[in-house]
Order: sequence, then C-alpha cells, then structure tokens
Amino acid sequence: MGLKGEIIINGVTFAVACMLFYVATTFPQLKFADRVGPAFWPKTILFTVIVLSGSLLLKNVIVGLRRERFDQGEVPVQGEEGTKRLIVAIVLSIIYGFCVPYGGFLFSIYLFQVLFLLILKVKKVRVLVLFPLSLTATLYIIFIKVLYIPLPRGAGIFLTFSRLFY
Amino acid sequence: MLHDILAGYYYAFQVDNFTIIVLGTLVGVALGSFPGLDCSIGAALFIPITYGMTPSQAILLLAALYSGAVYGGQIPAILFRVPGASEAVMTTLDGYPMTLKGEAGKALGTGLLSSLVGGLFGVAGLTLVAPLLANAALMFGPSEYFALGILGLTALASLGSKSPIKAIISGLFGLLFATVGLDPIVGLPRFVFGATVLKGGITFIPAVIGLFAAAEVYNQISRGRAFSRIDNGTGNQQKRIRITFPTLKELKPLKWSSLRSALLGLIVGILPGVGATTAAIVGYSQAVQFSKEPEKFGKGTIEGIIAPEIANNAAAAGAMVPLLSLGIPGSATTAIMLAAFLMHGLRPGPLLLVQQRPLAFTIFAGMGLANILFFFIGFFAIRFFVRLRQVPYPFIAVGILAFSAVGANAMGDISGMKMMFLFAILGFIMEKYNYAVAPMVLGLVLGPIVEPSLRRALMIHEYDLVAVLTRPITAMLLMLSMVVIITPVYWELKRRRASRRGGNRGRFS
Repeated sequence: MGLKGEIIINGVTFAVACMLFYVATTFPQLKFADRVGPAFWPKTILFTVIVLSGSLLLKNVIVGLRRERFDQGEVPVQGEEGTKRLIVAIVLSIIYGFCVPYGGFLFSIYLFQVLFLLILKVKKVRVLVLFPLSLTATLYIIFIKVLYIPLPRGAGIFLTFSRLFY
Repeated sequence: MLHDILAGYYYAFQVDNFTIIVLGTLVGVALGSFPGLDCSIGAALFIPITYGMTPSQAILLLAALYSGAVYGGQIPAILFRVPGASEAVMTTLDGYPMTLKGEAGKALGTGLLSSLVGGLFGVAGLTLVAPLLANAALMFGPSEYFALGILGLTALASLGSKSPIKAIISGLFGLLFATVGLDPIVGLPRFVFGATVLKGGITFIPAVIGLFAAAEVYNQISRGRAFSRIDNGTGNQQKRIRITFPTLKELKPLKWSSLRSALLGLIVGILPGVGATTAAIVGYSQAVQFSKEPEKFGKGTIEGIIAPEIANNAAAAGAMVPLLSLGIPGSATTAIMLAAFLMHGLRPGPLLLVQQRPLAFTIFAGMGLANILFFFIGFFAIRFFVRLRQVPYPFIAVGILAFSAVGANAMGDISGMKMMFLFAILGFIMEKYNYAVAPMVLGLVLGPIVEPSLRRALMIHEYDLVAVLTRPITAMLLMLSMVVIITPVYWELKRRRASRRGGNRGRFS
C-alpha cells in the first residue's frame, strides 16, 4: 500500500466526515431535547473522526514531504491480474444485485456462480455446470424448503420458471 | 445453581438441540481447519440459517461453531505451519517442528487433549463467573452501560489492529452507521437522505455478512490467491496420520503450567476485545518464562502446544462472559452472536440470566458439550479435515458469495443483499488500507446501547456531563478505557525508541 493511497483514503475519510458533520448540523431539533437532541451523538462521533483522520492525513503529508517521494508514489503490492479480476468480480456482484428482482433467485444465483467461477479461472465445463447446480440446489433446499424464506421469483418467463419450484 | 446446570444439560441433550450442537461443532472444526475461513466468517454466514430455529437452538449452533473453529485452527497449524484461525498462531511454533520430526500424530493428540481441557475449564469459568457478574451488573444504570460500551469498543480498537487510530476511526464509523434511521429517543430521521429503506436503519446482519464473509473473497482475489491451488502438504503425511496422546509421565510435570495457561486464558477471554489469539500468546509466553528448559520451545515440545491451546480454548469460553452477563460483546464473533440474540428477540445482559436462566445455562451446557464433541470428532475424523484443504479456493469463494447473497436476501429482502455487497466492497477497501473491520462491527452493535445510554444518563443528571462521568463505576470503566488506549501507544513508542537506540548503537560500534 503506497503513501499516495494512504493520503487518498485518509483524505476521503476526512472529507466524508466533514460532509456528514454538515448534514448532522441540519438535523431538526426539538425544544425539550435541545441539548442532547438527534444531532448530539453523530456530531460527537464525527468531530472525533475529523480530528483523527485529519491527524493521519497531516502525518502522511509530512512524511511525504520529508521523503520527497510524492511524484513517484509506490509500486502497488497486488498483481495487475488480481486487480482486473477483482474489478470484474465487484462489477458482477453489483449486476447480480440489480438483476435478481427480474431474473429470480434460481436463475440469477446459478448464472452468478458460473460467471464467478470463470473469473476465478475455472474452465472445465463439467465443473462449471455441476458445481453451481449442486450449490443452487443446496441453497434452494435450505432457504426455500426448510426455512420458507420468500426469495425473489423474478419477472416474466423467469417468474414462470420459478413457480415450477416455489 | 447445580439445579440450573443440570437443567442446562438436560435441555442441551434434547435430540434436536444435541443434533444442532453436533452440526455446529462439525462445521466449526471444518471452518477452523481451512485457512482463510474462521469463526467470524462462519458465524456471519450461518446467522441466516438460524432464522428458522428457536432462539436457544440458534445460539447453540453459533456457540458450538465457535468452540469447534477455535479447536480446528490447530490442525493446519500443526501439519502445514499455516494456522487455520489466528487463535492457532502460537501452536505452529512447536506443532510444525513436531510434524517435521515425524510426530504429527502426537502433536495433534496433544493439541486435541489441550483444547478439551482448556475448553472445559473455560466453560466451568463461564458458568461460575457470568451469573456473578450479571448480579453485579443489575445495579448498572445508563451511565455505566455507556462506559461499558466505550470500554468494549476501545479494547477491540486498540488491541485488534496494526494501527490503533485507524481501528478507532473504524469503530467510530460503526457507531455512526448505527445512528442511521430514526433517532432512538425523539424518533426524528437521521442520515436517511430521502431513502425510505434507510429509515429502518442499517440492517446489521447483511452488513456483517458483507464485512466479514464477502469482503474476504474480494481480498483473496485481489491478492491473486483465489486462483492458485492451496499447498496441501505432502500426501503421504496425510495418509500416515494417526492421533496418539502424550503419556501421563509426560503430562505430570506440566500440570502447573497448564493451570496457569487455563487461568490466564479465561481472564484474557473475559476482558473485552482481547480475545483468544492474545490468550494463546500470553499462554505460550508464560510457559516459556516458567519452564526449566526454555531452550526446548520452538523446536517441537508438547509444552509449546499445550500452553497456547489450553489458553485459547479457555479464552473462547471466557469471551462469552461479557456478552451473556453484560450484553457487551468482547470479540468480533461474540458481536455476531449478539446480532443473533437480537434477531431472535433476546437481549443479552444481566436480565437474560435472571429472566431466561434456563436458556443461559443451556448455552453453557451446549458449549461444554461442543468441547467434548470436537474431541471425538477430532479423534475419529482428522483425515477428513486434513483433506478439506484439497478443496480449491474458487469453490470456497463462490460458496461464500452465494451463501452471503442469499443469506442477506433472506434477512432483509433485495435491499439487504445490496447492502451486503456495499459493505463487502467497503470491507475490502478497509482491509487493504489497514482499517480493521472488527471495530466497525462492534460499533454497529454497540451504537444502539451506547448512544441512548449516554443521552438518558445526561437527561437524568440534568445535562451535567461531569456528574455522569464521575459516577464511581462509570469513572472506573472510562479510566480503564483510557489505559487500554494509551498502553499499546506507549509500548509502540517505547519499542520505536529502543529500536532507534539499537540502530544508533550499531552505527557507532
């Protein structure tokens, strides 16, 4: 982890805390609870975060200036391939989150697993078909048949498909 | 008391409860024996499964899983020098050298026996101490609860991370996330940003699943470990494993060292935030300090396995003391257990031991049974747990993510799942920049206790902060929090000064 990354993360923490502190100042107040109203606790927390993250940021900047390494930054620890696949994995997770209401649980979780295995370099077709299938069946039995949890059925053709099972 | 203990064992031996304890212990040992999966991840993944269980069954499952995982961590630590869980880190020091000497079976047998002794000692301590502490805690008011919450948070923040300041920031953000939604006293919305879903607050369980379980998968992918096959050690070694126990002659001289480890482990476990890993380190250090042959340590002596294993298993039970008697979780796993209690409509704390006494004693009994069970499971199924390491990580990763997604969905509809993925990304970023996630989880759990307690205490004392903070127990707990924060900083500064001096000496000599 480089100094540049440290400065960015601590800077973001500091900025977010400042922004939320401002939001906390806009909370409505009630006369009877004026002194320790809804804003009291969040403001106390955020003030402490601002002080602590500010001090970290300051320390990073001072260290950076001393080392005069600002422009060079540091070599990222993780491999390029890991980063690429991580980004794809995160994007896939987000897409899955948005697609479940339409695709339904059974279809979406199966597809999600197949794609995730591909990201993790699993190439054997038999594995790609059978492993997600067995895991989906396990999840179906645990959550739908045993725990009776109403998981999303999807819309359109996916709804019809889901209704075959639950 | 004896009646309560017997009643606890009676309930724990009911067929359905006993089955759940067996299942929890099995899963726990499996999770512990697989590096990269620990009891926090396991507990987070299994919370949604407890949804259809009774409260006592849910807690029994998680408690058994916890006990099993603390034991399971020693299996890869001894065989492959890779601790399955952080609690087993000290066991590698003498366990692996014993394996290299061809004494893997004896090392595993010693570890198994020590875990049993430590675990049972811890459960006995838990059964005796928790009710006493709960009785004392019945006198606590809002200001004392506020101070207790702060102590729990500072302990974990300062001891559980590479950077204490970052850990404190993480804990504070946890407290801040707990404020999202309607104000607990006046009912006005806070940090809702117009989103209806946020009015109910941040659902704790999806957040925990994201921070602990799913984030770990992203971490492994970013490090490139998710693609590589795990080193399985030598195949022949696995086939030859047969557990053997140390003889009475070997064990007799170690009785005092074992007792010291058990006591220290229990005490360290009871302290909020310190946990079983520190207990193992303390246990090992005292064994070296008091040993007549300290030079033997690190070269494969059974004493080097007994001390940390007794201490960490005693600490795992000890960590349940603050949770059950005060309602304050002392570690990440017990914080997740607190969430399970809340999910099932129970509030751990002194009243639990008064109003739900049979439940509390069933949990104690369940933990005792889990310790006995992992002894048999470890003895008869060791080869199975060793083979678990052969499962390639992509399958584990996909399994974790699928369970996380469906579990979060089950706990809080689609928004719960989206929140889980958001927290997973946040957890990944935090880990990458050394912001520990455990304090954030603790903050999320303790927020609803700390904030209303402080505000109520202030209202009772007519907004006189000094009057609130100078109540005897409150002041004592807050001073303890200060000590907990300052001590690691002091030691770090001292260490740096010493290394600087050492460096200078080296330069001039």
